Formats: sequence, C-alpha cells, structure tokens
Amino acid sequence: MKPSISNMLRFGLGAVLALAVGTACGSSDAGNGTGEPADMGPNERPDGGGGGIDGGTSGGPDGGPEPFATKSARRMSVEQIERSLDVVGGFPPGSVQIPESLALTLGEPDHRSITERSFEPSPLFMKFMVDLGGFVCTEILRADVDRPLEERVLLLEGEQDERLRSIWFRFTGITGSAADPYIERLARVEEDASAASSEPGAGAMAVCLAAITSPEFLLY
Amino acid sequence: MHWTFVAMALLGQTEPGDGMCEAEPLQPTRLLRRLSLDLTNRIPTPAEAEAALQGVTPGMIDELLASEGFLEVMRAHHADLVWPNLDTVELVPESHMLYPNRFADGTVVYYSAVRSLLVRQVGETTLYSPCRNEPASYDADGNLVLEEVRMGDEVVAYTEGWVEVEPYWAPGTRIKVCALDALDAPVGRVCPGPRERYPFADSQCRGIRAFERFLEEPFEGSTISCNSAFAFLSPDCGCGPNLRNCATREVVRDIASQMLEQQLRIIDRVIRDGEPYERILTSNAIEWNGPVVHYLRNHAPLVLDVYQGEEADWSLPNLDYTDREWVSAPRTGRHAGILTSPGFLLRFATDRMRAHRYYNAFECSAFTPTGPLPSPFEPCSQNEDLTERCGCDSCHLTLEPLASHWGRFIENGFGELTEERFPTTADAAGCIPPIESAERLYRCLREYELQPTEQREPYRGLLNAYVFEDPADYGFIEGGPALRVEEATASGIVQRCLAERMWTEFMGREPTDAERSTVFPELLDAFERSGRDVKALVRAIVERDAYRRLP
Repeated sequence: MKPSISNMLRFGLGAVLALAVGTACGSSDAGNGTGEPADMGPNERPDGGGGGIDGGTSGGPDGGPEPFATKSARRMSVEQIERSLDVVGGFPPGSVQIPESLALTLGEPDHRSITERSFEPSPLFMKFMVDLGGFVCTEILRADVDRPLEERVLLLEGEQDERLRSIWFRFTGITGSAADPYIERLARVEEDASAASSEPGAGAMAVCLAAITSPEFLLY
Repeated sequence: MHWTFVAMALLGQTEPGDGMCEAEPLQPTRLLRRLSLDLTNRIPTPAEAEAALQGVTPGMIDELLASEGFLEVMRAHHADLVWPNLDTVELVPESHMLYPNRFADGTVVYYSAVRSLLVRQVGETTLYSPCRNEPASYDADGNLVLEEVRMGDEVVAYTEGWVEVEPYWAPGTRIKVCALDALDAPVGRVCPGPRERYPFADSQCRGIRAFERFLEEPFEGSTISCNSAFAFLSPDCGCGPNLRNCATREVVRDIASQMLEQQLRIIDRVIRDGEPYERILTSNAIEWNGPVVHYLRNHAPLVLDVYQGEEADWSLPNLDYTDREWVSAPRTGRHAGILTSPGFLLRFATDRMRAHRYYNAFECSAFTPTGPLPSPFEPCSQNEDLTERCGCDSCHLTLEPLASHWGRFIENGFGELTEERFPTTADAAGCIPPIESAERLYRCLREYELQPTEQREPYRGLLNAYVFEDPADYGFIEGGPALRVEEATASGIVQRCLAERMWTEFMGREPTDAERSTVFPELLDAFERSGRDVKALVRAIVERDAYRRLP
C-alpha cells in the first residue's frame, strides 16, 4: 500500500483545522484543546467520580479545596513524541528516532550553546509534526496490513463510530461522551479523504494525520 | 501553506488564561496520559489506558515512578542542570589523533598529522605528509627504512611504509598504520635532535630549554615514558602497543559520551535506589567501563592540562576498552558525586565555573551584579582580590568561598590535588628548584604561587586555592564540594531548590508565592519523611489537585 502523502497531508490538515477551530470555552460541540468536553461543570466528571486519588480530586491530598492555579498546558518534547509514536504505532520502543540536528531545531538543548529546553509551539514545530505524521502514519498503515486484526491501529473493522473511537482513544485517551465532538469531525475527515482518493487506506491515513497533529495529542 | 495560522490554530488557543474554562478535573484516562508523559516520557498503551477507565490508582503511579522511563525523565532533568557536553574539550592530544588517509587504490592507512611535522618533515615548509602506500621495510639492523621526499632539489621529508596493527578499539581486526606512528616503545629520548632532522620539534624543545636551569637534569635527550605529557617530543614514542595511546575521532566521541554517561549513572542510582537526594552531590560511589578506564590510563596522562592525578585515587577496575559493562568502584579522597566526576570537572574547567553551575542548579541561586563596572583606571579596579575589586565584589564575596570547595581539584582537568602530592606549600611539594622533571615543573608553576605580583606576595609559595583566601575559610578547601552540599542540605536549601525545580517540571510553571508558603511545606514534609527520596516528592506533586485539573 502506498498512500499519496500529498493527498493525505491535504486531508489531514483539513482535519487538523476542523478539530482545532471553534473550541472556545463553553462551546457545546467541541473540546477545549486538552481533551475534555467543554460543557461539563467544574466539578463534574464523565464517570461521575469525585475526590480521591483515582482521577480528578476535588482538593489537595487532604481532600480540601486547593485554590491555586493548575498545571500549565505544554507541548510534548521531542523525546516524548518519539516514545509516544512508538506506542501509538505499536512499534518496538526506539523505532521512531528524530535526528539529533532536527531535535535541536525543535527545542532540545545541546548543553553546549543551548542549555534551556524549549517547548515553544512554533510554526516550524507544526510543519515538522505534519511531515513526521505523514511518515509515521504511512508506516503504521504498512505494518497494519501484516498485523492480526486485534493488533491493528488504523485498518480496523466494524462500524465507523466504533473504529474512530478506538483510534481516538489510542491517540489521546479521550473516551465516552467527551469524544463525541471529535468523532463527528473525524468521520467527516475519513469520508472526505475516501471520496477524494481511490487509494485504499486514504481515509485511515487522513484520520491518523488529524490525530497526530491535534492539540489533544500534542498538548498535555 | 500558512504555517503560522496552523500553529496558532492548533496550539495558541490552549494557552492558559486565553479564554480557557474554569479548571475541571481530568478524565481518569487523560490523567493517566498526563502522568505517563510526565513520569515516563510516553503516552499509555491502549491496555494501560483501558485499566484507568475507572480511575488512576496509587499503584499505577507507583509503577510509573519505578519504571525505567522515570529514570530517563530524571536523567534528562539533571542533564539540563549539569549540561553534559565535552565537544570543546581536547580529550586526546592532536599528536595522538589518527586520521584515515585513502590512497588512489582504495588502501586506507591511518596516520598522525602532527607527527608528520614532528618526525617526517625536515624542511621549513609545513608538510602534513603521511607515509607511503607500501609495507614498511627494515634494514639488516632492524631499523625502519625511511625514504627522502623531495620538492625540486630540496629534501622536505622522510617517509616510511605502513605496518598492520590490531587496534585496542577493535580486537581481532587489523588496520594499516604508518610505521613511525605505530611505534610501541615504552620509553623514548625526548628532543634528541639534531635540529636539521627534527626542525618542527626543535622549536617546541627550545621553549622548554628556557626552564632547564630549574631542573635536576637537562630535559633534552632525557628518557621519558611514552605514556606521559611530553611523549610527543620523542621520535621514539608512537601510539604504543595496540595503538593504546592514540585514538580516532570515533573513539574520542565514544569516550566523551561514556564519560558523560558515567556522570548520569550517579543520578540513576540515587533515584532508582531511593537514596537521599543529596547523595547525587556527595557520594564517593561511581561506576567505570572500558572506554573511561582506558582513557584515564592511556590518554589523560598525555595531556598536561587534563592530568588524571594518581590512578590509585580513582580505584580503577581492570577493564579493556571493549568492556562496555559498568563496574562499581568507589573513589577515595574528597570526591562528591557528579560534582567531581570527570565529565563535570572537564565541562566546567575552573573552580569558579564549577561553583557557579552548582549554585544555580542545586541551590537555585544566581549571581546578580549590582551595577556597571567602574572605570578600570580607578585604584579599586586594580585590586587582584576580586572580593575587594569595585563592581566585582558583590558577586565574588559569595563566589570565591564557594569556589574554594573545588580548590583541591585541578583546573582544566579532573585530578584531585591530594595533600600527599600537592601539600599546601611549594617547598613541601618539592617545587623549589632543582625540580625532578619538566612535567613536575609544569605542575608546580600551574598549582603554586611561585612568581607573585606585589599584591600576591603574602601568598608566595602557597597552593593557588589559598591565594586571597580568608584563613577562616580554609576548611572549605579541605572539605571539598561535599561539605558545601551537606551544609546546604542541613539548612534545607537543596531540598527547597529541588522542590522548586520538580514543581516547575511537572506543573509546567513556577510556583506562586501562595503555593510556596502553603503547599511547599507539605511537599517538603513528605520528602523528608521519605528520607529525601525524589520519588516521594514527585508523588506528592502529582497527587495535588492542581496537577489533576485542566489548565
């Protein structure tokens, strides 16, 4: 299988923008860029849980309220991207390796002239992610062809909603009703890409690109 | 494509405070993702994420903290503090660097470019001439046959053929090396002359001749070890058996990376074993592998400024270059974790640089000048004591006593200046002429105040570390860096700095003043109760509500 990267990138970018735009706080049909449904109240959780260590406490370790600022959103480091793409693609650890010179450009320090790590979400970084996404998604599709069904990442069988939820969960950890707005858009991406290309896997490729370049994947 | 627009659309929108929602708790699977990225550098596998659907358990956090991934995170965090990089350090002298020379027929012969000048060149023209592309030949007496190289009527060099050698970096293989570079004598005559035969070496020898009156015996013509700093001035000394004193670029890169790895392994051990955090900065324990041991034994002695000190100080295990396994062998003396590891000492060449990096990295303190420097012509600006020089004093009043903790570690190298070999005074050190060897003379001139200026006259003959030092601070020199770390730990400075850094690492921002006053006491309490195990501090941070909510 040889998906056309340029076509895929086109649909992937369309999907990226579709996923990214309109995520203002309080919007009822989109997330807020970090994977949580925007229409939940501040103390509500999709699983209905409350305090305690098992997910989303309502206070400090003593259970009381903690009136402080929360963790800041940050983009993944080069190391995190490498290791996470190994996991996403079902590849052995160490498979995805970004060349050292490129890592430097993307904010990794060389500890000689650059000693500070940079997490700036620059345009260069995003261009790199689109290019890397094209490469990695192609490799995942190639590997999927030879994988048993239960080990596949993108070439899944079953209903579209179920397939897309599985892929989105793998990439972002977002599940349940929180995933609804994303699944709706991913479906459009998959359909548009499949309609525009006769190549097998075109829809899956576009979905993969959209997921890899989404803030829900890259930010945490 | 408008990348700026794409990037802004993707990332700019999620900047904190840019219209974001009031902080909401994360879904458990998203919380696990955050924890997994922060603590192991990767997202959870689908199976791990499925297991978190009902919540993230303390056991899951324990597993992440016990993983190899967490060690990698801590290693990267500390690398950003100690800046491991030896790219600008000359680990092996150029005279002992071997470069491949590819002949027209494809034959590759290794040679030393600098030794071409030292032992092949005879004219005034600089000529990096390698040997000839043929096997070396010997006369009836076993002497290497050299042939003239002429430019017109003038003889400009003598060249030889190559020999095949099994290099230490690739046992079982053989490479071709120019015969004059592959010489393996243990000793050689230094600067033997005549000038006409070794004109390039002679210019170097003349520089040393000026100091000959301070030596017990004439330097020129004396016999020296080929495993010593002036070996490059002996035509008899080559790369040694199996080329042990020489290196290629690849070997040097390998040694540098292993030396930095040695430093980071100290961090791995303390964190993995849950030792008190300050042990990273005080422990005598260190591990060695083949490349690092080979370097200390066979390359470091060749560089005057690196100077390895006494081998016994390092308790080097017997390892060959190709032994990649790390072997534990505690150092003796006043060693202090990574702060006196070869990698750190070479990266930060002077005592002040070492102290400055420690002060920034582990005490979270910085030197801030109080204002512009006054005119250099003002009398106060002429003061050689930086703690009293106008404009410098504000920083150096703190920096000088701090730097004195490294006073008994050689600058530009990594040997300890032990009391046995480097007593406090030059006369006790045998640094009063006549001196036993040129190498010792060099060390005396480097380490002792032998030719003081007027302001330094009161310190004549003292080890450099004691010059301008307040006698009340002599204990800092004797105690080494570990003493400073112990004092800073006893007063809680190291712990507060670590908490500040860990908070910034995992919360993605610096703590607020309110957090410092109300949250940090709880974090530090958890840290102390664990015996200062870093994992306990990190756990206390990621269990905070602030960590578990949306930005």
